[in-house]
Amino acid sequence: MEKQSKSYFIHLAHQLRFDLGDKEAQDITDEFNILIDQMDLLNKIDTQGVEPMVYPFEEPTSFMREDVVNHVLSALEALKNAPSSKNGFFVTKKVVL
Amino acid sequence: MKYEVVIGIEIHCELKTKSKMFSGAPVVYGAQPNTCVNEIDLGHPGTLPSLNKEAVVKAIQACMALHCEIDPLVRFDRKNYYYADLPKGFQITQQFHPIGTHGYLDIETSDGLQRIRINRLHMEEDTAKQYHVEEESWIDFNRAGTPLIEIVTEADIRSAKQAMAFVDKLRNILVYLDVTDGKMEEGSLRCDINISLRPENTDAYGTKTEIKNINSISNIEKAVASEITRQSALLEAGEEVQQATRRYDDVAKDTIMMRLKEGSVDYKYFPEPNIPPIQLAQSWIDQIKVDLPELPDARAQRYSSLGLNEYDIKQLVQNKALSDFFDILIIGVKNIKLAANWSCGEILGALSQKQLEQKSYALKISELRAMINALSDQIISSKQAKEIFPYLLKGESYDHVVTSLDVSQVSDESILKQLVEEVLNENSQSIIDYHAGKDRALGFLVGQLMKKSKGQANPALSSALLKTELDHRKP
Repeated sequence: MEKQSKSYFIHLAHQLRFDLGDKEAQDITDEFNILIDQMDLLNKIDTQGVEPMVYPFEEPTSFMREDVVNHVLSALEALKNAPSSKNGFFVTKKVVL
Repeated sequence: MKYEVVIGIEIHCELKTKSKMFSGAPVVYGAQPNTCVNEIDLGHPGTLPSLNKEAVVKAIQACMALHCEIDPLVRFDRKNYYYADLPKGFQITQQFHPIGTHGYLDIETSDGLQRIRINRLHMEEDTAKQYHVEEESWIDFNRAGTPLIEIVTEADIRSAKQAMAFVDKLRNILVYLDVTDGKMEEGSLRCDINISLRPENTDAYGTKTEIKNINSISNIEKAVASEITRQSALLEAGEEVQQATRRYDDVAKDTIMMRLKEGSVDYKYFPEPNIPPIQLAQSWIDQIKVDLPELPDARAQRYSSLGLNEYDIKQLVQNKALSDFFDILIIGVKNIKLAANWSCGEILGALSQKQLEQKSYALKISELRAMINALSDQIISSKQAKEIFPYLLKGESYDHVVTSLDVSQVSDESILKQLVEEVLNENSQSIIDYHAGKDRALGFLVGQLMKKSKGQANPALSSALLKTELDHRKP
């Protein structure tokens, strides 16, 4: 796997809207690159013919929730973290897909 | 050149549950924005989805009605995309292991009986609703997390008429199952229709377009027909069809380009780690089958065995609310055909669809039944029934109305005999016709007598008295 530079993590942090100090950026870069080395070790293992394991347990579960309303937020609570809201709506810049 | 039309349909159907697919927030249409949500629907960090059992029941019911094979191991996957209608950054769906596969639905059009194969039926969650206002997008997360099933057909549909017949029949089945309210105008049933044309007797598919945002059953036929016309004109002119998403404009009566499709988006699907596979017990699935409500085809057969004609059967079965009304009405009714006439006629005229669906009418069905039975026994005439009916609609009882309106029928033989004399004296030709074997003559004479009595003569008694007197007057 490809190693990443410090500037890559600073760029990522910026995109995710939080600040990353110089030391933090260096630490995270070092840790990430160690992880990548470990992944490379795992990549060397021969997994030919081995089914991928998605869940940490082999047995399926059986629980399903009853169709009951048990928790709802007020609009005020729902909008609490929204940077911008109007008339009870979350508001973003216009994005039409 | 002659072209063959190739159509496949995807239907998204909102399930009629009380709570969301993966959260205990309510599912309500038309509520104030962002008042039917909780942290799970908003994709807050640290929340975990929990599967709604009723949504699974409804999905299985739909699978059964569409003859799908059911996968008893329920598994979900993530469809990753970044857009404001999806707060988590992914939609939980069943990409790899749909709950239903290999189904079919038989439709009947003027082309005959046709089997439309169902490729898959899977469960997923709905997204938020966005309103684009000038330079802003306003987002309401009430719809986010509403349980959905998506039904995907094979490309087996060959005309606009068939496309409409398919969605109409499917919608009716889902409404009978009470899986959904099926309201296209409110978006609880949405269909995307893929259309392409290819030269007749060739196998390769042409370039397809997808039509979205069709808000009624009748607009399906119009939208598909106009898109077929548009595509054939392009091909005839030697031009190419552009792969695109289009919408139907009800005013322009044409499909309008929304966006071009450039390759397929990579949604980086992977198994949903927060919902471990859920094993459904076969006995539980079997019980759902046992409890499956009556479906439209079965109901039509039942009506046929009751002796109703095809027109009445179609009228009733197409409208579940009306048909449910009729089913209650006929418990203890003496004349089923009469009950069907009143249901499809006066009832449909007097009650709105909403009243029928919500059973929000003052009319007591037992009183209507009493009136229909009286009509059937010729205790009252149909003219009198029409006078009585408006009072029944207000919730009054049949007996009370009959007494207060003084609509009691004239069954007094001396009065009726007087009328019989008058009618026969005035219609000598009908007496000759009657004895010449013309059945219609008697009907005509009864009609004349009813007219004279202002509709109040007892028809059965009048008819009998007329016959007796006619025999006396045999030429």
